[in-house]
Amino acid sequence: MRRFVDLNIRDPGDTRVLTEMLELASKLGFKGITLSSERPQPQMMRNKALSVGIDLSNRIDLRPRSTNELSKALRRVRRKFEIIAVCCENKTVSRQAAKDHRVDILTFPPLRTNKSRVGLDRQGAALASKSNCAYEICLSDLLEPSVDRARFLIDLKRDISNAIHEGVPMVVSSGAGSPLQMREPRAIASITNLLGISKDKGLDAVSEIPRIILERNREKLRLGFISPGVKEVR
Amino acid sequence: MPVRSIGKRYLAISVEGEDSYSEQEVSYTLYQAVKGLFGDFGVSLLQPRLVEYNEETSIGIIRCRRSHMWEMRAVLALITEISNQEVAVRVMGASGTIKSLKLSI
Repeated sequence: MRRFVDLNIRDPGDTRVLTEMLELASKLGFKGITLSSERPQPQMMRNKALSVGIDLSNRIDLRPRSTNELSKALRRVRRKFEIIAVCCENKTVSRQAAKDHRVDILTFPPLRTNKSRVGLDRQGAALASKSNCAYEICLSDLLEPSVDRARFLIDLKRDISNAIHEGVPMVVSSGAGSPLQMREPRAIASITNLLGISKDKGLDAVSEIPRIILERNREKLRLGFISPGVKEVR
Repeated sequence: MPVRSIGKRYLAISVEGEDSYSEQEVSYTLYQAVKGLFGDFGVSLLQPRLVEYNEETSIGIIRCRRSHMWEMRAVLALITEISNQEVAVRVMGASGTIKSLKLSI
């Protein structure tokens, strides 16, 4: 049986709403939630999530404007968050983020201005594949009324084709910031069908792949970790 | 020679929002959502239809072609408003017959 994980729930900033969202996530069939926030959630909130059957983890979304800014931010936050996502708004940042082993997820936001959208090109995908960096499809981007959905779907299809060609893992998340933006795991996975991904791979993108990323990073954050497969036992 | 009928799937949905909506509003939104995402050709392929809708509980049953159920789920996930009010349409269950669907939800 699949254990569904939503890797991107935005912190609503209100504990009452967050509790409501955790309960709803459990009702919808999720077993894990990653909360995107500027600071890690306290242990009390994690315990509260565990009481409704949700494994809560922390995520930060970095929006660097330069490679230097990205490196500084990564140095500052890597040991504090389980998931680090980089929102790529220009090509140099996207290349650097794809190369860096400390980055877990690459996100490419939809076009909101007249500037051309940066996407996952073939070279970026090759770098991401080598550093085991995942490509994220966020449902909330498709739900925004200001986004030209047809244009965005074309861009996503091109990115996904590059990701598949280079073997980049893909994750699908809701990006919900309120209970009404939350969807059940199969609904989130069904979006991948519009992008030419098979049903099984779509379901993996909300279950297996997020689970693997989380487990890998939790292992890294444990005391005594030296490198993958090597740890201090004494 | 017997003609094989087209397989159908029934989806139980729950419309969650601030208000309650009429069957007509939900049906219209559903049709427009399929048309908006897949066009007229998509409507002919998916053959969406709101079979039942209870305005008090905001729970309904949708019928679509079995081979296109995954597309139907995508359409429902992308519905964000009914009559200019924010909603979420969530699938509670899916089945091949209305009887078994009602038993499962």
